[in-house]
Amino acid sequence: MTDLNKPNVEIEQDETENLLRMDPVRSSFDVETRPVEPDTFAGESVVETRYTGGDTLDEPIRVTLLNEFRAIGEKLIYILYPKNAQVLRDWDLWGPLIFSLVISLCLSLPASSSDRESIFTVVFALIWFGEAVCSLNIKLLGANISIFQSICILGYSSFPLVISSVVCAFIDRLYIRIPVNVAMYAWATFASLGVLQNSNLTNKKFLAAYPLFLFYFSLSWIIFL
Amino acid sequence: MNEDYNIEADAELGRTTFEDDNLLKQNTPISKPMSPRLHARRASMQETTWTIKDSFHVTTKDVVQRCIHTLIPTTNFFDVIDDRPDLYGPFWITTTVVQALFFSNSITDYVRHLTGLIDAPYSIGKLVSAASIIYGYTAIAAAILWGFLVWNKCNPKLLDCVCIYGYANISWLPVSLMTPPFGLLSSFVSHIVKWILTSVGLGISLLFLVRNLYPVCQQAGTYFCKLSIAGIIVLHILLAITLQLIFFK
Repeated sequence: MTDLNKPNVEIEQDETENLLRMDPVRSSFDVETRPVEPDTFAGESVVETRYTGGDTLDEPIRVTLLNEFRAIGEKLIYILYPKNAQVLRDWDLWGPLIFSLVISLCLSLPASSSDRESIFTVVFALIWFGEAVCSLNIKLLGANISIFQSICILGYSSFPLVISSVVCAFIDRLYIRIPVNVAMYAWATFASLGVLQNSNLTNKKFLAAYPLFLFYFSLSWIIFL
Repeated sequence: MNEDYNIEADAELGRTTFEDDNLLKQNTPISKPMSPRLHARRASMQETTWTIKDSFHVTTKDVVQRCIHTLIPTTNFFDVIDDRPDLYGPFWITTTVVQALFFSNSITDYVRHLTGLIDAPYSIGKLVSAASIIYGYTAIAAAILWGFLVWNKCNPKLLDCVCIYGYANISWLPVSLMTPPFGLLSSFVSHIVKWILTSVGLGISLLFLVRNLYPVCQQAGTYFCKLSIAGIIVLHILLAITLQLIFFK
């Protein structure tokens, strides 16, 4: 019974996978990490996107934090020296959150007290909405990359801007600020172009890359001021 | 096999694995609820519902061509669009104009701050007001135009109106990039030059808008046509004056 019924099970899985891929609502899930079918009838389905080991709720906090820091460190090393593209497949948003908080903080501290809150809010909102809009733009142009993955890559590529914002918060000399800002802007933009690497955009590479240039330019400009 | 399944139906309840239960699966599709879109696709594969993704089917060459035809409005824009209005151009041109306005305003303020004329180096509120003015104007003016044409039974497409107004914003880009040097000189001549620059930008975008919307408004009848063209011109002049007073001072 099992041998004759196996092919039907496989065909049904392929058909539903194809339909899911066509559905624009769900096509942003990574195909290879969706749950295997037999689990869903017995109980709830476990969606595993990053860790292949089961659930991580039982391990001590120290181990979780160490794992997170190790993941952040791996991605930072990738930004510095892009060698292993597999690192970017497990996305996490801790890095972008820390970087955006540091940038917003460093930009709001030197300002006058009346402007401080508005600068923090505007920069924080600019970073997150800008990353979301750029990722949405890349997705709408036809790249087969998930939105969170591209937000993750854009967020990690803003690490050079963290360096320049920390430098510009403490140093006022123009001849240090300008080269640092220009260099960090160039580094951040080239690092973020890695999001376009594996996507199948034929004539639209510039259309997808231009918003990245604009986004990092606006951030570096506010950092410079 | 099938008749075995039917006879032993009660004995199946004790099982803990349902791997080979394809019959059970076909009867009770709990695993994946079908969204209405999947239903529609399964029902008729020929019909296509419009998604936002359809308005992004432009290549780099297309967008560059459309921008050039906006600045030099010789041919009819709707021919250039070729019935494929896109949302990429309007949105990113508008965003670029917002950034350029903030950039030009803040660079003049920064240099004035360095030379000691002003206290604060820049004001982040300018970025917020630039965004709200430009995004708001593009969206609201396009919506008003579309509503007006629908009221006169012209059957316009909202995407076309947004496209026209979005691409028309590109004339503010060179204006805002050329203003800072004159803003720093602060003599009487530079004030005049700034007003001239703004009016040149206004003239280019107004020429583009009127030239392309005149045939469309003509379908509404002569009275409403003149009314709508006058409305477009007045709104655009108001926008130019607002930009000049807030950003190019």
